[in-house]
Amino acid sequence: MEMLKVQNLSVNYGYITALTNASIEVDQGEIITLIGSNGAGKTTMLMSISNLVQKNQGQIFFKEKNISRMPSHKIVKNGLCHVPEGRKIFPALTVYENLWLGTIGNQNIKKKDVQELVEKQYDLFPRLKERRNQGGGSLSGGEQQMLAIARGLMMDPDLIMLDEPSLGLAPIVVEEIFELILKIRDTGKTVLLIEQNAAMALSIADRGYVLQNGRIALQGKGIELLHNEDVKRLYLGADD
Amino acid sequence: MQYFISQIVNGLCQGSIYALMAIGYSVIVGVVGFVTFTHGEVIIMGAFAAYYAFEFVGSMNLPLGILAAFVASWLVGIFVYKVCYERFFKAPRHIALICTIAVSILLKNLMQIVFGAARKPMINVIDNKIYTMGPVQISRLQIVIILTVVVLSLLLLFIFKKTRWGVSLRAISQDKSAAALIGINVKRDAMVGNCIGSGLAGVAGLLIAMSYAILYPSMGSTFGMKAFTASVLGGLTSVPLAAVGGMCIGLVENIGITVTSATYRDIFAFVFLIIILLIRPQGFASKKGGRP
Amino acid sequence: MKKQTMKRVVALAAAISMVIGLTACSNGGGDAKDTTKAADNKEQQESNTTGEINIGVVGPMTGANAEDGIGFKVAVGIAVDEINAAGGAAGYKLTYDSNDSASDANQSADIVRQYAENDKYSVIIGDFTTSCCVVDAEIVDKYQIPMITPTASGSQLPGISDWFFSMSHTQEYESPWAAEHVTKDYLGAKSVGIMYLNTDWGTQVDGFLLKAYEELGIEVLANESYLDTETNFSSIVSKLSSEKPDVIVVVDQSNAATIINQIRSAGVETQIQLLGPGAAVQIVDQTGDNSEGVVTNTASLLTYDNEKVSGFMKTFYEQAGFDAADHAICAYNTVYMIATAIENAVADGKTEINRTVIKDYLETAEFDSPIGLVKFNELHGSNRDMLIVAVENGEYVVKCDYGYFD
Repeated sequence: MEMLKVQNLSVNYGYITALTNASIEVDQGEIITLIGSNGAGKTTMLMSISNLVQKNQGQIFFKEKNISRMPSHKIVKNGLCHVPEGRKIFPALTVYENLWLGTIGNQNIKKKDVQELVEKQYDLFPRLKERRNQGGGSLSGGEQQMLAIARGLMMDPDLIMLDEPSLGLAPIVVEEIFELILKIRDTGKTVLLIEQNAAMALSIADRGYVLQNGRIALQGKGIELLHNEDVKRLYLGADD
Repeated sequence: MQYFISQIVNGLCQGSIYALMAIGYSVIVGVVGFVTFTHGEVIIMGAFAAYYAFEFVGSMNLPLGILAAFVASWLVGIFVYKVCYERFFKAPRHIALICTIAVSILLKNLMQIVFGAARKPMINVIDNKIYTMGPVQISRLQIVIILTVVVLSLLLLFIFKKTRWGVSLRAISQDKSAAALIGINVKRDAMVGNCIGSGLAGVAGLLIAMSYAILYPSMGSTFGMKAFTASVLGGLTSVPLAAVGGMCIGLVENIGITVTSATYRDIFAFVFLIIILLIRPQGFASKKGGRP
Repeated sequence: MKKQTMKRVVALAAAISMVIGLTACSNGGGDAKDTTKAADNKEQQESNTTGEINIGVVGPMTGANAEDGIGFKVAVGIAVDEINAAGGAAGYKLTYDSNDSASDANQSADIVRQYAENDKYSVIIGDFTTSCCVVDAEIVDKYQIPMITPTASGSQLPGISDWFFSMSHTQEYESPWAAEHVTKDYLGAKSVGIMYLNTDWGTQVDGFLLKAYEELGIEVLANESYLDTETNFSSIVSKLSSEKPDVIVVVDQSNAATIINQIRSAGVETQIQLLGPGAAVQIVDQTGDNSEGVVTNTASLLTYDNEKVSGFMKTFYEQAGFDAADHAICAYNTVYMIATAIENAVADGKTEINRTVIKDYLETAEFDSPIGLVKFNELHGSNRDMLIVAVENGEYVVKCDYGYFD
């Protein structure tokens, strides 16, 4: 099934054109990555899908339903989880409370299921279990990123969109995160991944898109893009 | 000695009323994200609603009064939200602020026209008796007021800590866009938060009217300012610290009056605020535990 | 782009509504005008020979003293209707306009200045408080238009200007009277605790009381003041009652009922004496059982049993929705004094009734009012007779009639 389809999306912020005529497709069970330099429009793409910014033009389909004009909270409740740039966990709520709120995204979750789901996240992220009564703001960057992802998983989403999950994290933690993403896909979920760390992203992705100045410049299988000359020159050479 | 103790008791009673208003204020500022100037009018609106409920039913019944006050102020909260906040979330902050000033003027004058500017008595809502325990003298009225505030505060605490919806309100007050991203209907829940804060203010208004045996439309402004002050002492968005702030102001005022004169009541309250803020700009709140 | 315009429209609407709100609640905010205009006005005034005499009324229609200001307006209206129905004052029809000063001296001054600068007005009735009248008196003196206050009783008012009159006796007269005849003679008290409203009026009364009590040998155990925005008297009540005086003297007007309620709710049983509101029906109505036994001096007893005033009281209640207090019937008498002045002037052969003529004839006018003879003394104040009343079973009962102590 076509999980997500973005058709001819154009977005302006005032006079600044963020996206022009961008189209992507994500099928069920895939890991799709969107790479590109700063300001290329990657975050804008996710914000548009979640309907947090106004679109000038274009249509968005999720599970074959048109969500272009749907209110953000309804989009979430349809099974689309967006883990934003900068993690955005709730700093004055405890780890447990953050996770608990994650269930809001799925109205089919009953009270008694909550505990089970929380335990699942604790299995995936033992460090979160240790800190379960601590305030979100006191966690390290990596732990906050895990919390953000765990919170997203609490709603048992069909599609999970991750915006720069590796940003500002130590290499060891980054590896953990990417392994996690694979695990998530293995449980039957679909992943749309935005990344600056193009090498890592392309190495785990089934397919990828390259955004340049708001346009889709290249697309193809992950492995192919990894070995593409232009991609290597522009996005892979600069990585340490 | 007995005189000093009765001043403390007065201070506790006055303080708990301020605390309730401040709690309502903090909920509004926290959840909606805007400072409001309509709080004073919302407070008095609740008192009037209870007054007319009593007239309509023909008898004084405290639970009825509390319900009427809460509901009436809740409705005013909806009005304020739709006029001042809903459209202005993405606009510069001062627009919503000015709007609340305008609405407060509108409400105050509307109340004067509809209810009349004259004073109305509020007596015999409960059978008053004086209880003496050693050097302490306290009236049943004072006990009822303090208890009402305590019960409502505990109720609010329960909602905010033990219900998912209450926790989501706290989330909204910390980060609106993150809240939207996990499926919270921010616009609707922010309005409900505003209404809860307003409802509590309405009940505080009823308690004020009962405590002072009087109500009239222009009473609201001073109380709005005191609520704001107590809330600022608590760091503006913290509910428990706002309650502490309210209690402190009530006690400071009453003790201050004891050694000087009632003319200086407001001076004590606001000088206290200034001193605290000079020493600790964040009020009673701790420095961390805010936004990252 | 549509959302931007929408935002602008709503913001503009909010700003406009705020401006309307601000101007609506501050009536009569005139521009500051040159005072040389006052002299020009006088010349124009001298040639006013229309068949109408216009009265400007100013008083607090909102705020803490709202009932009194509204009382002015309604009482003046009743008197004007009565006089016009009987053919006017020597054939002149009376009309009036009223404006709200909210007991604020600045607002009051603005309104009085507007009346004074408008040739249409020949005489002003108001304001309610001494603080406003002190400022107003300066203005009417400059513009030379007569002004009569039905109620303000500050001792600086009589003689403050040739153009200013007061229907009320001063505190210099009333306070010692109350101290001697109510506290000492009637209540037999040896000690008092005083709580007073911190305004020009209240502070003056307190000053005269303290002096009087000292001369009478009555101990003042406590003397507490509060602002007119105060609503919570519990701390003052605690302070006063802890000294255990024989009598608690409350110097106030609009807050009297609230204070009585709060004193009794705090369980304080001490005898209460009021000084200020007279025998106001509101006090009895708004206090239930709490006012039982409260004592006060008053210049008039307005009850429906008193045939001389019951007609006025009924009409007043129909129009105002609440009962008339002494202040209202004084405003009523003020209009009749003006009418009497006009009638006397016409009888003397005056063909023009202008501001100066009215002022001159007010000085010698006498009116047999429902509450006794009204006339001004040399300083343009009045000395009124008083009686002592107590609240029994929810009603005022006369304890010492007019002239009891003479």
